[in-house]
Amino acid sequence: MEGTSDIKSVFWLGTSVMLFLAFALVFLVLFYQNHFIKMKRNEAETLLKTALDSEKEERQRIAKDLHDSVQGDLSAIRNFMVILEKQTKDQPTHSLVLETKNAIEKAIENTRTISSKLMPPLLETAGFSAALKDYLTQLSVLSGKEFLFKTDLVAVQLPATFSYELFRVAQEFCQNMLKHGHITQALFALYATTEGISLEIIDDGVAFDFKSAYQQSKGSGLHNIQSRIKSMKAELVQREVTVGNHFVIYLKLSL
Amino acid sequence: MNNKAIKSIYPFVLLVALSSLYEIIFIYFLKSDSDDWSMVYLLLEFSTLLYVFTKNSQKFFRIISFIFFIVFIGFFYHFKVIKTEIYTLQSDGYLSLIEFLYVILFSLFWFVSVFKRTEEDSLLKLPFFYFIVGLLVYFSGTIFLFLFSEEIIQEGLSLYEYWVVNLILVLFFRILLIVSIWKGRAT
Repeated sequence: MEGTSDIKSVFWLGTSVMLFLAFALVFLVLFYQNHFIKMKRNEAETLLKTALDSEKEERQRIAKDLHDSVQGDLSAIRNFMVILEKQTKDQPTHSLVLETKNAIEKAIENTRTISSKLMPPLLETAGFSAALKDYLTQLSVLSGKEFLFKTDLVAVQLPATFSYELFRVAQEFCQNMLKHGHITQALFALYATTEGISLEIIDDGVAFDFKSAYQQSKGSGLHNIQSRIKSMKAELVQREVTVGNHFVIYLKLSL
Repeated sequence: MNNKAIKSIYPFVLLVALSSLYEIIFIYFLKSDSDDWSMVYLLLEFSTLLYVFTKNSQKFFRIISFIFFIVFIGFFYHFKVIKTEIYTLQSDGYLSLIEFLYVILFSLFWFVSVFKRTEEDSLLKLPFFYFIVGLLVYFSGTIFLFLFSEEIIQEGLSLYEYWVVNLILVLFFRILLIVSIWKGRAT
């Protein structure tokens, strides 16, 4: 009788302990992996933020160097060329001097454009809306396509970090529209939402699925967009449309 | 990797399906002797697990698998060919213990290998994870039953009362097998 009771006890105790240990192991592994993934994500986010910050700083530095140094030197050379142009007015070398002066003026203009593209001065002085509006106006002139901008956030200023990242995202979208989308018209609309702001990007170009294009893409454009969206902790939503593409970027902000 | 891992469990799934069919037809309806079947099933079960584990492990674990294979075959030969006077349930219990240790060892190795990989996917997304959890829980929960089956009968207790543990865990394991295959096909 005692043996029977012993077997019963050992059986139920042993089975319970073994089952407990098996489930405990599974839950422990799941918990640890979850913790491990979070740690890795945090690490990746920090790395991404550092990379984007360094890129921004480097852009700022190059833009400043181009503006203060190269552009300054070129302006000085142009001034000399103006004097030289006057002095050689009736000489056979005059046309050559004139051509050189024009080339220098073109170089100054190009340097200014590059410097502005690297770090739009309006972004710091007038904010995101003004910088994007200016950029889209210039792009419309240069590309011959219609880039429109609408906003109800005239008086509101976005924080500097978000302004820069959002501007770069808009820039990447524009480059994609021109390079792959073959658009004729695009609209950028910036609105206030209950939780922050939303930037709608609508075009009439070649339709594409962002997610699958991002997974297949070997270039840096879509990856840049995704990285910046991630660094802002924003959300990119693609809406279904019959023609072209419609994206909305939701950014949580306390305005 | 997932696809390969899931394909490797197909022989085991086939064995489970065929054994269910065999047990219903031959043991339940035709009342055949279940001792011979349990002997064949144990051997086939160990072989299919050996196949799954060697297909999903590094060289080091393959050496361990080989050692387990030798030990299992040695014990199998000893109990089923040399010492045939030992009760079937008792010898099956010892062979199940070897299988249990093999399963525990592989599960631990597999978990460690998953952590070593740099993938960020949750384990819950891996179809093979469900198979491992099923195996681990089933073998852990039934090891005492298989080891004590003969003693339970010897003490005059009803084995069917205790066998319910096996039935519940078989159900649990098969549900996880279905989830594993289903998730494997989805990915």
